[in-house]
Amino acid sequence: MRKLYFGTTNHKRSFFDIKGEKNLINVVLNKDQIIEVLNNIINKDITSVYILENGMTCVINNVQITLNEEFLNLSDEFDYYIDVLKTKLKKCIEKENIKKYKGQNLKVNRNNKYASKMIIAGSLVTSIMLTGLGIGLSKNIDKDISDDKDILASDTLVTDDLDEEKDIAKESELHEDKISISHGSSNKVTMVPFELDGAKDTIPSDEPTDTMPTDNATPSDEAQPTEDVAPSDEPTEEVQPSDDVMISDTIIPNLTMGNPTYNLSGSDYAFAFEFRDSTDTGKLQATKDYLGYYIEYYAKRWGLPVNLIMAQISQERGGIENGTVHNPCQLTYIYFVGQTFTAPVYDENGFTGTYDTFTVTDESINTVEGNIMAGLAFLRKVIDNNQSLLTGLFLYNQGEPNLIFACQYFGVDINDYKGDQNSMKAVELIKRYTQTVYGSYYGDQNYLTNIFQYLELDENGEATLTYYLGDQEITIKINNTLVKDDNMVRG
Amino acid sequence: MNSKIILTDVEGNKYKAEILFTHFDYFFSKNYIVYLIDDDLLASSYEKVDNKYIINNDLSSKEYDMIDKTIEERLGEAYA
Repeated sequence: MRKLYFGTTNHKRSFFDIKGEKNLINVVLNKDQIIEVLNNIINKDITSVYILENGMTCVINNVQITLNEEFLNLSDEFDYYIDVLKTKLKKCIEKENIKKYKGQNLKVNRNNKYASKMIIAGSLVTSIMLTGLGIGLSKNIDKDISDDKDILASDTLVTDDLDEEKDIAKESELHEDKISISHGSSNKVTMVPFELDGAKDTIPSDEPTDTMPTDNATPSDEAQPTEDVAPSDEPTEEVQPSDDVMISDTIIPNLTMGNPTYNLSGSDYAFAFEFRDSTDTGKLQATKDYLGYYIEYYAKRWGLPVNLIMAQISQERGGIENGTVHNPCQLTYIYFVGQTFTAPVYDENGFTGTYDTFTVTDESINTVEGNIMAGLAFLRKVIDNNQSLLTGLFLYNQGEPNLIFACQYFGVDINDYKGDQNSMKAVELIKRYTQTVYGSYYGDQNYLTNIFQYLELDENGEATLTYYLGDQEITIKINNTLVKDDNMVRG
Repeated sequence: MNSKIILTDVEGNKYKAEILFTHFDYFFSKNYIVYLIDDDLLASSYEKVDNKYIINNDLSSKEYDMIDKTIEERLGEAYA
């Protein structure tokens, strides 16, 4: 049976063909392939539906399709097909619900004892049912469902409880967490224990722990030496980070988390990660050569670490052509254009007490300087809101409000996740939230390490990030444990 | 069938509910949701506000009549 995954990439619908013995390979479909697939299924009956935690799997015309929630709620050129599919899913679910009460005389209890107004918390099925209804209203295709008796095939399989659904999802091996893109990289990564105090207590244990350590972690000395990264001449090459590279989530052992006043070798905080070194690929140097002036000017002016921003834009930007690059900060125009930013201004003595205020326009965002201004001002805003450099950096990719949403979703106090001392805990919570709600493909789950690969490290594998938070200068050390381990092996 | 949702009232109390179906009624021009809480069959209207679904339990008797009729129709459909 052909297996497809309808997911999202950067908030846009993406269609994948799932391949390989263990469904570990997915291939992005192009537009013609998508239309061919959709035409093959759109007029066919749904023969089975499985509800997953953050999506659903259905079988239509001998094609197994797994959809995530965000995919269903987005809008694009394929809306016609997806709306029909959603309507079929909705009717399939509703009919089975009603069937359970076959033979009973159902009357609504008119003495509703509950509060007059209540909020429906997040639920995939709710979303499908409610949005499906909206579709039916807008396109007048839900007017008379009795006309559509052929929609539900007699062998429709519907699960009755959550445990059973999880088992089915496991058996089908189509759970999103098991799907990963293979770039053919030979990188091996050590999954070191998650040692952040308190994090396990605050993150709900019943959620999948796909980013947590595994018992069969490979030894760190299997990591690919950084020398093996083939150097290439920038600017045209687009270095693709390995999806294997994971954040280690390990705090350097002699730090005491939760105490913001400690000090380590002149730095306020230190975090250890495992990432490959891509500083010699030419991309970082090209960023410095062609974009470095504006990056340095605005990063310094707004109290951000220049080396980190160089690395971030090296990761974000596309290729440089004719000495320039389009949208180097990879901004979403619809969000940025028209938005007014206010950023605090710093000089060599710290906070000047003044602010830069500007509004992003269609014209400015298309210039290198205007694009960098908007990107850095946004990063500055997210860092300030979360009082953390690394949390802000991660939210730049994952979406500005997602720490708030994650805390609401898991019922935890956001104040326990703000601040540099809580940044890894916050990153884990955001990952858990976005993977749960939107699926494993949401944003770049390895965004931090994909940036750090462009950080220039010292002989100990460390980079120092210095930035301002309010009027306080903060220093953070990023340690690449691969370099450290490599030195130890050689030593 | 898994159509479970959590309803939260203004005081933060949470109730597990199971959706039977949703329905848009052209006469009342409103969306309705029919659901179970502890085998208690309930109906509410709902609307989407700020990306949240807000349900309203204050229905008129005519709205309840309409819901009961819709359930009958859908039960009949399930027999088919």
